[in-house]
Amino acid sequence: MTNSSPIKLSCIIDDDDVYINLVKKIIDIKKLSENLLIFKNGQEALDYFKAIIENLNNEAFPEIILLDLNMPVMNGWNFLKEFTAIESPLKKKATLYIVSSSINQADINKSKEFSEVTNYLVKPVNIAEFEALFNSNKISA
Amino acid sequence: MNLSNNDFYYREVAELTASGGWKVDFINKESYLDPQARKILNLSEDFKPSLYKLIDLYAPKHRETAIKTFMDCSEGIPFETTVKMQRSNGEIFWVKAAGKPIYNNDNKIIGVQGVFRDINKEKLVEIEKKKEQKLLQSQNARLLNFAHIVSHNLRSHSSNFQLSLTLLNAVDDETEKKELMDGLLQISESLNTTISHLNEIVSVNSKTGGELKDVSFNEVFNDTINILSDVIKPSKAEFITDFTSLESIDYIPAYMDSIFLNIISNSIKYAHPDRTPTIKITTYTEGEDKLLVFEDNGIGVNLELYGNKIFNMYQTFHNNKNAVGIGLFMTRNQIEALGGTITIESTVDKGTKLKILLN
Repeated sequence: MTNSSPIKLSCIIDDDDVYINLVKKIIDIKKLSENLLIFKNGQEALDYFKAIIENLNNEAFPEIILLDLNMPVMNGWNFLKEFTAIESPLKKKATLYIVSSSINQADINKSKEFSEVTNYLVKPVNIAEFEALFNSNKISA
Repeated sequence: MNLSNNDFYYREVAELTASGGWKVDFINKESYLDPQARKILNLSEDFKPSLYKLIDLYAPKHRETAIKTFMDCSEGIPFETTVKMQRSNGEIFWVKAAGKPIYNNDNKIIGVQGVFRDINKEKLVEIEKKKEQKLLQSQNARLLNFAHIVSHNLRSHSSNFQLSLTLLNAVDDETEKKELMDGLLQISESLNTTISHLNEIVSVNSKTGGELKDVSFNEVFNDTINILSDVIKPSKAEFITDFTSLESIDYIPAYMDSIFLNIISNSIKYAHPDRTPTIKITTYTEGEDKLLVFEDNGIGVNLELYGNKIFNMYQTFHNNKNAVGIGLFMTRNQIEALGGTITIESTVDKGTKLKILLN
């Protein structure tokens, strides 16, 4: 794994400031991603993605998206609905994970309806799990 | 069995089931009501029914339907229906009524006849049951929401705790350690806030808010304005109130205070930036229902998107830093704990109307 190139850009969509700070720290300490995008709700993230897709800005597209479900303005489900409706060659690049504290089986089942969702992770995600998640998305050198 | 015996059985059945008979004769232009019908309707024996007077035997709101049903029947359509009638003393009650056209030998309709049965007691029980069922359903929905909150919110705090602690073990830098310690304090504070919210809701649902008292809407309104003066003054909000139709109600005073406080502060929090907030508060009665309505000209909320979640806990819909998503949830709990309901109508950019059925 040491030979593989690290993740350049990843993205967190979550309204919990405390959680965001913690993930930021983990990414920092473990050097999991060079850059990090943070959006406080689905709408902010969607606006960003629409803009970069329109400009075909490949560099600005994250490789990993960590999406929370329960957020104000636009929740994770509505973001997924809108995001998956966008047609773009850029989109293929991102691996999307739901990271939520909901252990509701209905939520877990619903996430399986979206082929774009790679996995459903229940908070807390520990440091080792974060490492594994980021490492599995590295492009082997 | 001879005729008089037959009569006896009919009379007994009619008496036992509180069923009355009636007939309208088109040929002789006469109407009849049998003794049991007169008894149910509280009419004297010398009351002479006519087609016009028969209409008055129905509750005012049901007359139009009664006329239509009768006209249809006189054209050959039998009926079986539940309708409200009115006794001579003005008392309105539910009956089950059935009627059929009367044909002569040439198959021509020469009249209409039927029976009706006083089912007021059963009907009231049924209505009460439906009401209770609705209340139970809404309580169940609230409990489910509550269970999700407990699970979701307590979990998110505990998950943050866990993550912070593992990080604390992994870092060596003192400044980072200090930052994480401060973070732990912050998490513990939010956990406390969540628990106090949950406690509040539990106490609302067990009706520990106090005794019912005669609560004056005007007084509650004035108190609320005073409490909120720091936010109302800079907003320049205008209030239009009309409590003349219903000036006061038996309610838990703390709940009424909280309803006014939550809804008015929401209206100000979500005022439209382009206009002076105008908040209209009215009370009125509709039959036996007592209603309280709040109407504002604020930014509104998209009900198509959020409709069923608006009164849930920790649901915030605008990117407002002050929003915690507890206000309307608490308001709904207080209203429903006292047997009422709250409904919302809202148009984005136009405003929001909250209609509260008090009890």
